[in-house]
Amino acid sequence: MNATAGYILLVEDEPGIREHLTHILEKAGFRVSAPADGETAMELIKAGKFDLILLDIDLRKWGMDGRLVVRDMRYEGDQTPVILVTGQYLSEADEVVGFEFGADDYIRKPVSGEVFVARIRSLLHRTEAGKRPLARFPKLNAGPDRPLVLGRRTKDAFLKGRALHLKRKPFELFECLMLHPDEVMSREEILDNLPANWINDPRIIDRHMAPLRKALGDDPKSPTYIETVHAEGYRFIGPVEGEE
Amino acid sequence: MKRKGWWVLSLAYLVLVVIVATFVWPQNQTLALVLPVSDAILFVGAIGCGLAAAGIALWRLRKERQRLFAETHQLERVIQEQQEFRRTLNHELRNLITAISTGLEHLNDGCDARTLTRCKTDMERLSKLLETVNALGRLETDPIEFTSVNLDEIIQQVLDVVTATPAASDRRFEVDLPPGPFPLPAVRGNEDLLFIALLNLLDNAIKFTDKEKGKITIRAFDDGSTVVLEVCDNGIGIREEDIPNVMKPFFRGQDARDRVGSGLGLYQVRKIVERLGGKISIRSKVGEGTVVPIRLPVSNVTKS
Repeated sequence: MNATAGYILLVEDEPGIREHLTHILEKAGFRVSAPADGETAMELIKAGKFDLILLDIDLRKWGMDGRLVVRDMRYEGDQTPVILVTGQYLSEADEVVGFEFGADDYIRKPVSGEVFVARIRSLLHRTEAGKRPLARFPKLNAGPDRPLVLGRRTKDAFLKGRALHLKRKPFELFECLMLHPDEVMSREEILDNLPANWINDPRIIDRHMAPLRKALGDDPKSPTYIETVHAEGYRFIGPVEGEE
Repeated sequence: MKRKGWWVLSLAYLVLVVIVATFVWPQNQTLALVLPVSDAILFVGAIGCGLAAAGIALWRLRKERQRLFAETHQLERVIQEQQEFRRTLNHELRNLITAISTGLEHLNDGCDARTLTRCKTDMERLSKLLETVNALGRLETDPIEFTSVNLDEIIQQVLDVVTATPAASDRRFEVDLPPGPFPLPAVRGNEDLLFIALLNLLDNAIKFTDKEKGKITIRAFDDGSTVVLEVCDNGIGIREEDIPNVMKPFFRGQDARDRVGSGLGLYQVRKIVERLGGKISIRSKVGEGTVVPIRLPVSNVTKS
């Protein structure tokens, strides 16, 4: 067991989930702080001693909203990596707003402990040694000699200087994968990180993967950028660097 | 607006006739001074016109009432279906939760790998069920972007996805589209939704056909205003008494109960087709196969 795996703040208003998650995270070697009320949680966030914050989006028992918490943190200049844990029944409008508030990853409940730990590890890995999380950069680049550039604000992508002309959905899929380099993401996990106007069926990912691969000239059998991991999902082959 | 105009006109006319009849004619016969016809004829004509106007108004009222009846009936059906859905969902959830909680109790007596796996699968089914119910709910309320969809592209995309899965490996797939000079017209719909609908139909076709002998045909043709998209298989078929129910939520045919599935696949397809303004039906013969035709409106936007 590695005691220095990371110090995690777990903000969750449902005592049952809080207890189980704390147990799972501690078993995985993390140090966990799981406050039992909203005020303590806010004080701990302000104190800012954590490597990562796991934040439930719907904290209605505490009269709080996870998205507003991240927004305020970012507004105050707090750059601690945040994973927003979303529920099942948010309306479309709710979720779209969540994506603009500056969280680094999205996990949808219900989810297994393994997935939780894996996602936390990879976000910690991406942000280790004070590196800024990729989600905080306006541009991303990848590939050998960095031929691939994705403009997140400008909504465009270039391969060796040539524009890729992706439609909206393949672009969003591309952005999501690039934000999680070297991470095997299931179709469900990908969907959790996409705007809510995507149809809630994991297999829709495959439909938009095809034109993306075609634009990249990527052969699924020997991929340079996007690998299909059989029976699991997809993996973007890193490293990916953030760019101003 | 048009309907309102009629009402106002016929009402105004009736009022006028009543005024003429009660005040003008019996007192000083003013109208005869203005018009060169006898008062009696004028009176009868006015009453006649008034009756005609009233008749038209009544006829319209009847039609309106019929329309409202039909609408109420439709609404009642929707409500009934939703109640039925809620009841069955409740039942399904209860079953799964009972299975999980008894499993957990069993684990209390000592860890047993089989029970643990069983609990996990039930948990996954529960979670999947919630996702599907959520997706179905969103299918009814989320706004849909309608575009011109080329079905041949969707068919190809679905086949690419399906044939890559191991479950489909031994089946034969055939695509039957109108040849060269009269290609399939684009339909009015939504690419993502049609993709999911067709994918679900192919899943079913694969699930209910034999590994070696399985043959699945996707056919599409048009009759001017609609395009028919059909998925045909030579699988186990559906019993006649089950056919009226297969489109209902959670229904599983007598021969389907030993195969995995939530009973929501075909229901989801129906919901998608209905939301896109299309129609779906099903024909089947036990031991011979099943055909599911979907009718979709032709797009009036010509796609370049």
